[in-house]
Amino acid sequence: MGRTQEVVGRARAAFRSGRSRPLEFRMRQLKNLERMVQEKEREILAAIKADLHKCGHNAYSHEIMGVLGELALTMEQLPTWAAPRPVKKNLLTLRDEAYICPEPLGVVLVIGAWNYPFVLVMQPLIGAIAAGNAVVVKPSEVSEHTSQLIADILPQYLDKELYPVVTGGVPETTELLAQRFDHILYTGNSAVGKIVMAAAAKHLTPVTLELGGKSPCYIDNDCDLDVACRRITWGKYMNCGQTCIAPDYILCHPSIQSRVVENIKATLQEFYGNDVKKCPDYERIINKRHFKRIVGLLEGQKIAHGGETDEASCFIAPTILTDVSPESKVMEEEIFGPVLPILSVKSVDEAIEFINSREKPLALYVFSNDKKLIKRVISETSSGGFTGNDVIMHFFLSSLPFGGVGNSGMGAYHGKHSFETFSHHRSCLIKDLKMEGTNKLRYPPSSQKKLDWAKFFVLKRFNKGRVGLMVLALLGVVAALVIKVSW
Amino acid sequence: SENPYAGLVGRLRAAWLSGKTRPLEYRVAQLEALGRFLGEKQQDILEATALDMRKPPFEAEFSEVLLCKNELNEALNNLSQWVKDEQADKNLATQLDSAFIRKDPYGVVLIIGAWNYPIYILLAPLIGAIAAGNCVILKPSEVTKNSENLVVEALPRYLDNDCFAVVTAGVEETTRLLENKFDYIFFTGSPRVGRMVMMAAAKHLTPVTLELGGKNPCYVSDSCDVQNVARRVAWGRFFNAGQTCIAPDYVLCSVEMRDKLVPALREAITEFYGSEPRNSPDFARIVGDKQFQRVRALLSSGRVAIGGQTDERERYIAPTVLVDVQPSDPAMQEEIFGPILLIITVASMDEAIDFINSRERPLVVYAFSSNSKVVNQVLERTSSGGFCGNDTLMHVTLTSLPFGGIGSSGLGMYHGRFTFDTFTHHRGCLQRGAGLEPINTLRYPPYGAHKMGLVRTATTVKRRGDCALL
Repeated sequence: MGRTQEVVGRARAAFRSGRSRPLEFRMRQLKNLERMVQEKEREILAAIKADLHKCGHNAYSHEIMGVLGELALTMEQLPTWAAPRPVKKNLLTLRDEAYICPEPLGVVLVIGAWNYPFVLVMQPLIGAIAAGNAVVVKPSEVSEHTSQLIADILPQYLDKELYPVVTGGVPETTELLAQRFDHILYTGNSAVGKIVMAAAAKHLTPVTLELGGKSPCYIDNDCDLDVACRRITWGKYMNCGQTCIAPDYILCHPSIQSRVVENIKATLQEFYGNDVKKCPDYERIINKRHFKRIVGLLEGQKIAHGGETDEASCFIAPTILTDVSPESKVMEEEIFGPVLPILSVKSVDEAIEFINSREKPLALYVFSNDKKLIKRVISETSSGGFTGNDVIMHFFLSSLPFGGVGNSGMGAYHGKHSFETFSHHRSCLIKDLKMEGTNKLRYPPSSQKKLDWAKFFVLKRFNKGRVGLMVLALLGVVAALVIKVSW
Repeated sequence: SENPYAGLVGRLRAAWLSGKTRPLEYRVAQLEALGRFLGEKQQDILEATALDMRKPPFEAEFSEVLLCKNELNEALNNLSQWVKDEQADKNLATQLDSAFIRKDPYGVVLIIGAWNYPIYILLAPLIGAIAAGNCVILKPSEVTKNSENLVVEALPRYLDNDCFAVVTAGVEETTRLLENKFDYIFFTGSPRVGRMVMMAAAKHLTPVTLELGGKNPCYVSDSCDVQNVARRVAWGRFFNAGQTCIAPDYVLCSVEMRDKLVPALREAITEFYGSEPRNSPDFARIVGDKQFQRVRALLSSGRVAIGGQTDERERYIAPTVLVDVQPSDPAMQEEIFGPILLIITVASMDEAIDFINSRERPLVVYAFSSNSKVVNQVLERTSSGGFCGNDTLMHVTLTSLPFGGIGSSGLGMYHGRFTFDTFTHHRGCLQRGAGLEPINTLRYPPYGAHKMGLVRTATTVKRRGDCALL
């Protein structure tokens, strides 16, 4: 129990000292973080390559670009985000100060995942620092190179006590989860998500759970199939399918299934050439355990393309399955690999019904030229997020909250939403000690007269428009004076 | 054995899947029906709460009816705005796309009420849940039997029974109720039960809002109008016979201030309730025997400066002020939730702040001073759900202020628009076109060094003032 307890205790003491709160301090830490990403870019790309066989281009655009963007946005907006927010007052509080003050929660725990091992730790960290918290960072041990790198470089740039890195596996994470935090952001699977929430419940700690599920992708007959399949191919096979918002499976009319397969095959050729295994732009499965799991999903399936595997290098070729049965194993769990099942549906109604009969996914994709159809699917389904006529892309717009719903998670972050997630919105009402007159309305002994006055001041009415409101306000001031005089 | 509530939850889930609760007109109609309930059943509400805890009619009308009507009107006035897609700022890559945040209902939500404001605490969340388009199961507190009966019998006559149900449940039954899967759980009550609710929710990955409690400190500085302070503090403490989650629990002040405050409090209490508060129609009673015993036991802490009288038959505890209270006393170990105000003396504001910060974060911190700097110091150097300077309770009457706790006083918040947001899943949506595919090729393999250079240039966000040449 010793080590993690010490680390968390130190972070809490550091938070209590108050030094993470001033804006200048937060900005400095964020600036240092930016410097770290820029100065250590090579090391970061190398670590990600070692973990996932990911080429520099991908690693940069998946993991570094977004982080730099988030840092720039946060540093620019922080003074605005952190400022007290005045609120609309009622007649009784007209003369008072009423505002919402964003405040740090305290000590935040960020648990990263292995599939995008750098960005999934960094993005929450940025928001948590910006909100004034101390942050304990626990990168995934599965992506061991990136985890070790983060443990090495973060203390070189950030306040060591306020933002410690804890490395390790299940035992260390369990130890961590027994400690008290003021918010926990966890990225991973639903099974562990439940464990995290249960641990958090003991301390009444709020949680943000970024989980997963099977993100459906419906291809309408009326769409630019060429473009659709290219975009789907990109999103499905990036990071070797190990993306929480990858299109997990396709739903389409049986009449276009073969064209879909042909288009994806052609795109795969374009992207990775004739010999995918030799292509430097194609990643690998993270480890043998996941490799075996994914290979197991291929059993009994009709392989329309791909299917080649090599255990020694954890290589699985981009694979397409057709005529997949909804009851098969590949449709039971999130695939998280380069295997794309295609299921037949006769109509968008059937697609909607299919989607709604399953757990709410993290992402939902629809390809169609028919705007009405897209609108309909959005309105009749539920998902964490949605992209129409593309995949993945809603993740990169930080003005959109990124998170799940139901089994795919709770809470959201990115951009300002990170700041909000890691802040406490403290309501503040500051009144005057004078002006006791109006207060007497509410004190006992009660009377009908008092009640009527109280109603006048407190009760909201149906909007009578701006003029009505002003007249009301005027009346209120008059009333206040009258009461002051008469009591 | 099968869960006794599985059938009900299943029925509501089917209603949810039918999409009935989603159209704006439907939600407005249900909210208007709720308005009629409040109007037509107002007298019944006053009578029920009077029977349950001798809640004075003024208090009941103010806190149970008026505040609910406020929430209702706020929702009805603004719902068409709240449900709209929120347009999201776009970046360079998405300029031609449509980016918005869709407000999706969660589905079937559970609202567990509390007994101290049995109508308000049940209905205020209900208003937001309906406004957000959900189906709702309501579980009123079983402690306030008359209010519970009123809700069970009358509410279903106003709301659509396909989509809104009221269940009665004691402790055991509530545990079984919580075994079912809900899409959101809203709970008001104690931290102890809050933990159990969250544990149960974790099994289904159900998001929760927990409105809990704690000991709300009230700092009174030496520079203040003592009589006004006394009135405001007394009002906040003795409203509903102290059974208010945001009541000032204990006062922190100097010895000198205490000596002025006690007589001022005595005067305020007399002003409010007369010389014999027991005979005042404006003073409530403790809700039940169990709670009465618990609160009465706290009277042994410190020394009684005002009040202290009790009557078990009536569950009457006089408006009481205890002084010379030590942090180790029983009254300082738990939320009082009764008409007992503690006064603890401190040497300075700093000591008061340290005292507050050494304890669990409360639902609200109060500070009284004619010096605004003092008020701001206390605000800035403490942490709590909410803060009110120079008054008590009033911050919850403003629907534009979010109401919720932090740490053991709770998680999440509501009131006004925040209730709607609580029961809404904010879904990030991006709608692209099929055109402009050439731009996308930047992201597709095969990757060459030239592509990397292009990507960097096109996407690097420069800080204003950075020299691009460096």
